[in-house]
Amino acid sequence: MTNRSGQQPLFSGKSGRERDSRRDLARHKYGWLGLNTNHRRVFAALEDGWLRPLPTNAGLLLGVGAYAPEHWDEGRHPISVRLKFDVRKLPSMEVLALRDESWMPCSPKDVGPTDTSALYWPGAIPTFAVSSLEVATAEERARLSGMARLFTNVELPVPVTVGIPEPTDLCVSTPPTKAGVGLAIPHDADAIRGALSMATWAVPRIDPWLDLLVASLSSDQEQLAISATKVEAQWWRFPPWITPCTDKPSEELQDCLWRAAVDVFRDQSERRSNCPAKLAEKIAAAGTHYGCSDVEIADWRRQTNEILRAKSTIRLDVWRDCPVGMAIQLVLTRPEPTRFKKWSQDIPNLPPTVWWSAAALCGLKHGYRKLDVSFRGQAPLQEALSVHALRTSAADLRQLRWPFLSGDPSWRREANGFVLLWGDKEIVHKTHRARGQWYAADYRKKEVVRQAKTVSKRMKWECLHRKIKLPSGRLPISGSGDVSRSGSEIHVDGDVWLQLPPYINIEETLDVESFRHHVVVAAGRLPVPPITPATGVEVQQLNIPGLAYVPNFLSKAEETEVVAEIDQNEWSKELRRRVQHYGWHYGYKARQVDSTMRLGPIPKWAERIAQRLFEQNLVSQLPDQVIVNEYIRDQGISKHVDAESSFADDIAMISLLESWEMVFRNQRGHGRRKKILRMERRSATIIANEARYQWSHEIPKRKSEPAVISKNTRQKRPRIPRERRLSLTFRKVKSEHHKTLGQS
Amino acid sequence: MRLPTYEELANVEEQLEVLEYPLDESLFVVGPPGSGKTVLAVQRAETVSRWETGKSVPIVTYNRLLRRLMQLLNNGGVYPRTMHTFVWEEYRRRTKHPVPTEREDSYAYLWPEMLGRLRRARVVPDRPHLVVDEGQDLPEGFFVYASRHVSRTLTVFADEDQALSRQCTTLEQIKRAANLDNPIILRRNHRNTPEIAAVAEHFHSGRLPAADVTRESNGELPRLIRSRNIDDTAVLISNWRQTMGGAVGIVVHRTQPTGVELHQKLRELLPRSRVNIYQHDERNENSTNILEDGVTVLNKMSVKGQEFDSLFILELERFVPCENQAERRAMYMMCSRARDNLLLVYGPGHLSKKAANALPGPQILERQ
Repeated sequence: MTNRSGQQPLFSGKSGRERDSRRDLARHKYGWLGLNTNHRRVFAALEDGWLRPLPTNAGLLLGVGAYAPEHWDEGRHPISVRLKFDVRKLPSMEVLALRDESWMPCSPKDVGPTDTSALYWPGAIPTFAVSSLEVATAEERARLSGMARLFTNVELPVPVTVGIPEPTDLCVSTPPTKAGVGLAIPHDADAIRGALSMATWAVPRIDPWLDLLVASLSSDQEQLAISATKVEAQWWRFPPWITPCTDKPSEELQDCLWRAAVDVFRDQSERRSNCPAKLAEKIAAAGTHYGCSDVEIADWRRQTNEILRAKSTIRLDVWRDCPVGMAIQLVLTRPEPTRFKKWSQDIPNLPPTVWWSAAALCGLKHGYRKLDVSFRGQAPLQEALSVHALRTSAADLRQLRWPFLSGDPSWRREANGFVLLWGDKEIVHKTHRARGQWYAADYRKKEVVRQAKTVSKRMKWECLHRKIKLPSGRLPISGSGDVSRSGSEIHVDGDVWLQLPPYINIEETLDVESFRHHVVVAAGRLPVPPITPATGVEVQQLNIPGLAYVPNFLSKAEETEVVAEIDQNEWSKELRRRVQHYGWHYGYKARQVDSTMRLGPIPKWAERIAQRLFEQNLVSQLPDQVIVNEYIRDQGISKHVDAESSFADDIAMISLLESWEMVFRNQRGHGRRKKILRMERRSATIIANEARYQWSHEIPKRKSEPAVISKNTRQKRPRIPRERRLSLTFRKVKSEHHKTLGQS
Repeated sequence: MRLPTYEELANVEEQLEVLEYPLDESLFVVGPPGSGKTVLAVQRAETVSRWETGKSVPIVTYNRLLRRLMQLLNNGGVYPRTMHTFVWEEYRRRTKHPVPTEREDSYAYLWPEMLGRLRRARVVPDRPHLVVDEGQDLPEGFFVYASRHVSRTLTVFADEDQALSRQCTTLEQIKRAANLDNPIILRRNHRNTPEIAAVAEHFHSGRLPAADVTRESNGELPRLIRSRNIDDTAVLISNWRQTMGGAVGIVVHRTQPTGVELHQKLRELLPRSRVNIYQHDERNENSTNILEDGVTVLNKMSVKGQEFDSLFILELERFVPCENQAERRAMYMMCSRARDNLLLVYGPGHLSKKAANALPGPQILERQ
């Protein structure tokens, strides 16, 4: 028996049972490809994003609706893992399929319903296509998951299942001819994917920066140049993931340093040598090659060396002199992404341009393979960046079509933040930060303008115009100088004294465009702008200074996840209502914490929320204590003031599961004023200053809550019976409580 | 303490073997500092507890700070105890009697008497697994007790070379007492850069060969620094921490008075950062979060088993020249706590000629 190419068929044996299972599969629209391999192969693939062929092969043999065995034994205690790949996640490319006992070219999407038993995949296969991981026993599952939890750069794409494989005697060998274009992963792809991941993770959440990110992901050079200029980061005309088509020298120091750093960090051989001082030297040398002056670059190198020797520290006040130089210093001193990330806490007022440029360089230098899973993002983002890294690093793979990812990247604003899209597919959601909110704020509102002025003054931004309106008539003038008007200016020559009537005031107006531009580029840590909630009570109407309210602070999915985490943990029955404490224990009797009450770091789910509160500038310090309060039906908390001295000024409360009201009462001043805030489910309420110390708050003990207020009705508001509300209180324990016993 | 990437272990057969070892079998692992024993110990205990759902797996160690570290590393299901706490709790739970000890020393257990009572009471192992770290520091009797009366499945991690206490147990004794197979020997050092390992090895004197370093060079030689006074030292450390970030460890000979004074100064210089002092006598390990970035001041005894991105050893003149094997071992152990940077600080006076000669040469230890 011979196939078309005149070769011996390579297929041997086919059981009746296998035929049946194939018929079953034919009923499904999409098929799956299966591989039975060793767990070490699985880990190597997951850290990399690609399951590569064995060193001896050019491709992978996959079963269609069955698991093709890969004979690869490693280790004394191997675990056989059966992987399923979803064909919808694979590119449309020519592969070889075993049909009617001979190998024929076909497209992976056609394999399901046809009479195909095996498929030869030329090259590497993406791990994002993995739709199932199966092992034989619970002990193996425990070992496999236990190892995955240990490795910082590995995350199992799906939970491991335990199952007994159907016995198949699928036994095929490599096809004789090489299949069409192979999916060979270029060397650069790992560095590029590292840069893409870190850049997406760190992108400043302000409109012009998102425009720049999107432009840098598309290949529109013109748009890229416009966006880069708008944020005063011209060097971003050369994103780290695009090989510049021009070698044209530039005299601009920033361009040269940037291109030099990209070259050095992208170079595989350089990534092996980690010595920061030597890398600085190489970057300086490459920078001179790109055309900038030796003097300027020598100055940067000297400064960098002093920092690397701990003789001086990175100086934020001079960042404008050399933003790229500073970005490179941030990477050289902390090349490991997990440590690099801490710059945002250690220098909280880093300008967006330095932060983002540095993060992209850090990712480029570190690469994707070693990258901690916390920077990798969720599945849709990983899929998009994986494909994009491949496209940008290999010219011959640019034309490859991935049916699940078409169109161009874009972004759009949504209620609680931004979403990044590829075509019409949402690939990542990000919540608002203070700068993005300031950028989009409504400057017709008086309160917004008032606070923007305060911010400008505090930050010493030059976006306030001081004006006086001169009254009609005559004004006394003295001094030896002369005044003349020409067009829209007056010229003053010499000393001129103008005597103004007493009622004349200097008016301060905000140059909104200039202010928004500062929001985009300037250094500094901004407070959140006055927030207008989308639903519920208008907090501004409440007019309690120090009270902030953010509806939809958590998404629905996050709420579900957090509640599940909480319910897995043990409740303390110290009080009538159930509570959980994280980070520090709180003594209800003594109403304080002390150093013996440290419980350890707060769990990951809580840390993510704490981080978000801090990043959105809702709290001034990263919270390290969380109390979970559970309120069932008519439970409440009586009127109190959170006056304990153990905690920092601001306290954040997250409401989960139900929307209940909180009553605020003014403790000082005349007439005990009472105000009501409806704390929507998934919202955040922050109390500081007056809201915390001058106002008491309480959750009334009652059986039901009023439904959402609709303005136009005079009917009695319907009430909804209470069931269960969880409240998470985030606080920061003051640092003196970290003091150890030996010190107190 | 940093957890590994898969890439770092992919070619380290013996590390993978430990991770892949069946969960229902006993395991004996021996390895030098930096070979990842503590992380492997916590990982194994956690994996077993997830498999045996609902049962917590005790993990026993000698040192309280190490117990604390394990508590911080683990995500639940693991039950870290010092040996003393564990034995007291466990023995009382099973026999309803206090542990018999020497009259003057409540830590000196009368193992034969204990084992006799347990045998007579027919106490059989009832825990699914027991994990021991730093096994060389635990008495031989403990291993007999553990294997006969606590759990049929034991996982023991040990390293003979860094034993500090006089009551150390040899690997052969552990193997015999706990009835274990030959150990898997971890030979690689995953913690130190080759430059730091070279300084540590200068003080190495154990029977096992020093570990092969798997990390790549970061091009930074460890440095010998003379400091004029404690203020200079504090500024150096504060600059370092601000620039490099990460976890910074400071070893002093005794926490009183140098450590306490330095701690105070660093708190002022680094208001944004965590600055802690660990004092053995104060038993304050629970208020120290060693895994968080920041600065930790501790003494030679407490630094054992810890890991810092940058390590400063102060009062070097009190540690060198080493007078005996135990002092050499201590220097070896201390130097090998550093991941990326090691700085040896002395002063204000010069080092004695003898001390200077006891240090590695300038091509290994840079003089600043």
